[in-house]
Amino acid sequence: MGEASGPAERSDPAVRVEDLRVEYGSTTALDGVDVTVEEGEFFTLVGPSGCGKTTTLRCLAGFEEPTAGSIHIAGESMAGVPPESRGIGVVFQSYALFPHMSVGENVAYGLRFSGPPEGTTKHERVEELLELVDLPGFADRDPDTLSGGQQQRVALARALAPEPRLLLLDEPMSALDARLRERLRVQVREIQRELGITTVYVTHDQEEALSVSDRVAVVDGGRIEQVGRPRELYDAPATRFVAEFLGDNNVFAGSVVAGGDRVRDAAAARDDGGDPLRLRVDGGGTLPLPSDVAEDARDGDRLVVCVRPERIRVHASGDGDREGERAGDRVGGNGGTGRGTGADPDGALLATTVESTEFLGDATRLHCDWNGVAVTVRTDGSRSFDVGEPVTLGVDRADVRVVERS
Amino acid sequence: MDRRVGAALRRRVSDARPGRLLRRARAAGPAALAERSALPLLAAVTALLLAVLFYYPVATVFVDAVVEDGRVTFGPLVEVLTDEFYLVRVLGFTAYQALLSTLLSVLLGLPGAWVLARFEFRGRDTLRSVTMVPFVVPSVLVAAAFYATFGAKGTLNAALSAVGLPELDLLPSLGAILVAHAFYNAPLVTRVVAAAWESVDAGAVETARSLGASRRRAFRDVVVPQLLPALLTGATLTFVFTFATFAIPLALGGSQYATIEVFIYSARRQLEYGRAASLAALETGVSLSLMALYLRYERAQAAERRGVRTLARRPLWPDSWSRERAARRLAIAGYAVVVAFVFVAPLASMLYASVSVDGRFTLDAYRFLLERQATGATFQVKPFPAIVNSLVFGAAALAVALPLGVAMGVLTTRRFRGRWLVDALSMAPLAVSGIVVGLGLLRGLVFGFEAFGYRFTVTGAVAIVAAHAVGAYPFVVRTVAPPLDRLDRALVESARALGASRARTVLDVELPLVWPGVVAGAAFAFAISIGEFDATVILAEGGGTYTMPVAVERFIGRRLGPATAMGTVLLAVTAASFVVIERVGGEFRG
Amino acid sequence: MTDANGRSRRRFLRAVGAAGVAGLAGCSAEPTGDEATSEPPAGTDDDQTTTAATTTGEPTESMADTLVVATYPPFVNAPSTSPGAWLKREFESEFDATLVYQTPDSELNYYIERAVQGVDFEADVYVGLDTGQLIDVDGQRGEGQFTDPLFAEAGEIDGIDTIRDGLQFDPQGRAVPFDTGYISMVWNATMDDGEFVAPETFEELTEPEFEGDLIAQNPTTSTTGEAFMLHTIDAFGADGYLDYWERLQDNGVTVLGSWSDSYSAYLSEEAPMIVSYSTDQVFASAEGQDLDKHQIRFLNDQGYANPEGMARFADSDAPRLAEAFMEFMLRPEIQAGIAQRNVAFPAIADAPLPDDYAQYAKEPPESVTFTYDELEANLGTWTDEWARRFAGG
Repeated sequence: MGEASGPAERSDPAVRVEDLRVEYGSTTALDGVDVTVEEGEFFTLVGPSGCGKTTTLRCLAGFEEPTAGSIHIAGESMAGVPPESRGIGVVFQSYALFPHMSVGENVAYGLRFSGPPEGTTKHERVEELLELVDLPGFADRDPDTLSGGQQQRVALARALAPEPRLLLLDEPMSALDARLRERLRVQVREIQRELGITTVYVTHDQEEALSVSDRVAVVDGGRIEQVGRPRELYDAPATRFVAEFLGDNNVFAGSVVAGGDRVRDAAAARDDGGDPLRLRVDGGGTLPLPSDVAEDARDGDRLVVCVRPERIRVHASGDGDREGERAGDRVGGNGGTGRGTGADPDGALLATTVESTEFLGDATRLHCDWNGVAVTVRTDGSRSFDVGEPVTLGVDRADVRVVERS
Repeated sequence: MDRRVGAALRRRVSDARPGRLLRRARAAGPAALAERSALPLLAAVTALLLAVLFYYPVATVFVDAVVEDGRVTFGPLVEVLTDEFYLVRVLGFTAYQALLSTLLSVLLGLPGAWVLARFEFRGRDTLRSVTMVPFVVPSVLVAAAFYATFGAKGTLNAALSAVGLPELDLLPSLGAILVAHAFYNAPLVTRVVAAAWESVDAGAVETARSLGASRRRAFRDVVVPQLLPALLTGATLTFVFTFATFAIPLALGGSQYATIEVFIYSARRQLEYGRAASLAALETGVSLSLMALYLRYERAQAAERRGVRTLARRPLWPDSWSRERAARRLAIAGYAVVVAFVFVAPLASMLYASVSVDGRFTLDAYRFLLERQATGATFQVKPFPAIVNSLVFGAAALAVALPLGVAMGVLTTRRFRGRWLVDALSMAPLAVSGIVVGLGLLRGLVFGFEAFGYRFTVTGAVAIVAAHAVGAYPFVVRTVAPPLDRLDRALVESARALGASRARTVLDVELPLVWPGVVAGAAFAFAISIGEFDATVILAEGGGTYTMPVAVERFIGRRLGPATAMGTVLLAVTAASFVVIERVGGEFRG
Repeated sequence: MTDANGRSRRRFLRAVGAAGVAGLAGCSAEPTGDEATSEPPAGTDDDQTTTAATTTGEPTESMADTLVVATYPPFVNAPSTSPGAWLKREFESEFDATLVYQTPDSELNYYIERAVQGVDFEADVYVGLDTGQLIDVDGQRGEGQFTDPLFAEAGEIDGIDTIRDGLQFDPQGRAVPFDTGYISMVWNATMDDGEFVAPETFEELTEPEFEGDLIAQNPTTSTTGEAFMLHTIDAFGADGYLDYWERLQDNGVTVLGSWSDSYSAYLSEEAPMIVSYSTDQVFASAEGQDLDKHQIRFLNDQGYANPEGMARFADSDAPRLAEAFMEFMLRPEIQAGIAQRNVAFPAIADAPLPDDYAQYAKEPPESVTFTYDELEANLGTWTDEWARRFAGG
């Protein structure tokens, strides 16, 4: 065991990672990661492959020696503590069931070292866990005869058997097909809640991350971009990377302009001459900027903003006027900043053409061309659009989020 | 899902949570500490053994290549390296014959691996066990057996003239050298490749077939890549062995086929140690370079794979025949004929020589063995002690070489800069001339070295076992490391996370999954120990610790009888040992 | 570890070794500069107590009670017949001493190596020296810690004047010949359907009639091979022997590495002639073989003599016993016994051999040999030139 450390205290988080660095020769895998996971929390590290999320998990497990930084589990430093003494359970993408042992032997393997919990036998414990993962009576089976989903549940049972205080899941669903993946993640989440076990989950699948986690850390380039509850991250991405990585998003880069911008859009004519700052999208038209940005931005500043596809309203161009009125009405209803000019400082109407459509069942995704800038819109699917059809898109100022300024 | 279970679990989890780490921490007592340091400790022991039994003794010889009259001059080395005769003619021929021998050994060994790995037939296990038998036959007996089989009046010519074909003049020739080298090394190729073949993942093959690959295509795309590392292991070892060949070319080729080792021998005989050491340095340099190249390749090949579900074997005698099946069986039959001539006939002729004089059947040679056993003087070599010594040394060497080899294999699967160099150095016992090792052991260990006012000498049984272990452990490493390298890292890490120490993980997970390689390595290690001569004869100092090959050498005389009788005993004992090793090995795996 | 412990441990090992079971002990540490630094190799003595006596006993005016005789392994251990056991019995029955054999595999080189490395040894006498080995000994002197002479001069021991002329090969009088052999051709009269007859001269040997008919040995790796090469040098001169060998090569001579390899090829009737020893028929008749297959031919009516000598180590702590042993070796009845058991010829003229001994053990009309000085000056060059011409790919 590393430095002296007392038993876990109440105030200690389940996991505390500080300034974690991992370097291989001249390449940096982790560039100063700080993470705190609370007791019983389902915490997810999400990011593209090679971002460092798995390296972080491997450091937690003790498979990887950090170059610098510290890891505390339940308040105890993990420096120099080998994996087998950390009290962790790990589930890998490849299941990693021991092929030369039966299912029961696999689940019982960790009990060789910790012994079964008080009051049970090894055998009872194995059956208990197999029931927990919905595989009762599978103990004598050969892992090879199981489906991928079943194998992964055995791996989960095996990891839980010795009562780890921290469960580490490394892309456990990636090898499974989509439907199975969804079912299994619900199951995993239920078991996690049931047991109240602190869990660190690594995935590249943002949907998975958002759907099961208490909190999510988005990792990129060996750094944590943003940590928060799924809703926070989705609604308020702090960086362009987070905005683009989590869910669909329209990202626009452009320059801040004062009113008086040359009007190119017939439909946006009424916006012209307004006082508030707007964003002139590179190669396209202008978008309104949220008021908090508009106040301190200056003419000519470069900004990147994003607008979620489902926040954009879409109408056939023929409805343009009415849409404008409605928008105006609504803006007016929101109150406060309306100008008498009829221009709408809290919104914008973009004249676009439908390039392609994707039918998603419960919705339709439109890929539109806004004078050369691509805009994606998600509609409720109540009306269908044809490719080549001109449509007007309505964007509210409140839905525009600045994710990068320079 | 049954929530009641979950509730019970939950209670237990929360009960168990506080102080859980402390429980494990307390478990980390002396036993756990020993377990944790087991692998580094084994590696340190390996390094120490290598240093004392190999590097130090060998250095006492190699120093002669660069030191003259106490001054570092590099004179002898420069002399050899600038001599066209050695550098071009001798080295060139040595490499040439080694290359051809390697090709022939691979050619003869591969079909054997195929038959052993892919077909089921009665006695398959036993046959696989005894494949390594030729490896331990003393070269003088192989030479004699080759004359009896392929000579002017040998079995082959007798067979040819019986069916009215012209007789062949095969001996002595380069071809005879190559076939004798194949006699020794093709079994090695067979053994290594068969072990790999038996570990080929059936799932991968089935996946390929399901994706539309023909059987041939699946073989090429899935099986061959998994066999290639093993094949190159066998080929590299064969090249290194035949590069240092000595007795076989002298006996079967004649003087014009003198390898570099022959010149090392004659230089040593003339006490020209500078030249002997320089030539040996040249030889070792080439062998080690090749080994290092191979090791780099081997490492680059290491692709992770998961556990093994092995390919099912087909019956050698199929239930129904198709054209393709018949063609395969015919090919196997043809191979059996070649095997009969190259491997079985020489061994049979040795057996025959032990029970005949001038074509008459006699048990005189065995009577000689019994008499020598019963009435021989204590300073004479007797058969029974030779058998006992060989077996005891073999078992002891195995007991040492197996853990050392596995530990080294496990430790070198870690990735670190310059790993191939460490690998190559640990393989060096295979690449250094037996003459140099022998002389080094004499100088460095038998004569001893002075330190702290004491002269430390190493002779006798322990030294022999240690020397055998040092010579044998590289085989274990080479048969165990590649499959270890290919194991899914997650298997090891899962076990660690579940509470197993590194050493426990090796025992519980890694070894069972690479078990065919371990057993093959054990067979090699045992064979090396049984067949070892150079170091044994020196460390035994003509004393009571002689082994079977030493006895064979002592019994060589004008007549072949006593030596071949002892050789037959050697073969029988070795073959039985191999069977036992494989049986025990098979059971141990469970 | 104390000295006493070390010894008792090794004595145990020897006892175990004698029982034929591999012992466990294998290393030892002894104080350097002690009288008792080394011992004969484990297991070479019968009597467990003798070694301890040797190591602790001090040389006194009276004769020591143990004589350590170093020799080559076949002298005691050959499967057919060897004089070792008989000689030990005879010697011990007459002298109140124990004879202990040391038979290191590297023969005399073992002792030269020890001398160079400055490591003591126990041997008192070496049995089985030839000229080449003496040259090696003298050539290595000056290397490392090998400064003092390895062997003592024999001096005027009893029987030395009975040695036959021409056998003495040590100009410094250290080595005393105790037997000799002759290198000749052995041939098989049953080959070529019983028509084969070996040639009588070196010249005839190169005639087409005998193409592919001779098996010889490599002079760089074999004693008989070296002797045969020297014989050709005697016949054709240092300038002519390589040309002669060129002709032999053209005539398809087979040159194998060792005598035993080539002899097994000869027994397999690979060729009708082999370079071997002129005593071949002694074995053949003893084993009841067809003597037609073991005919002897002295080319040019000559045999190359290969006398074997014995010499006393200068450092022996039993010099008087060693001298007595050497005198014992030259006694006529012992000479006869050694010659028969070593299948060689006595070094003295009047050894009482059985009458029929000469029937199978053939001596050449004329014996050929090179002197110490000739070999010392040339042997390395001759061998090297041969190797560069005919060996190496």
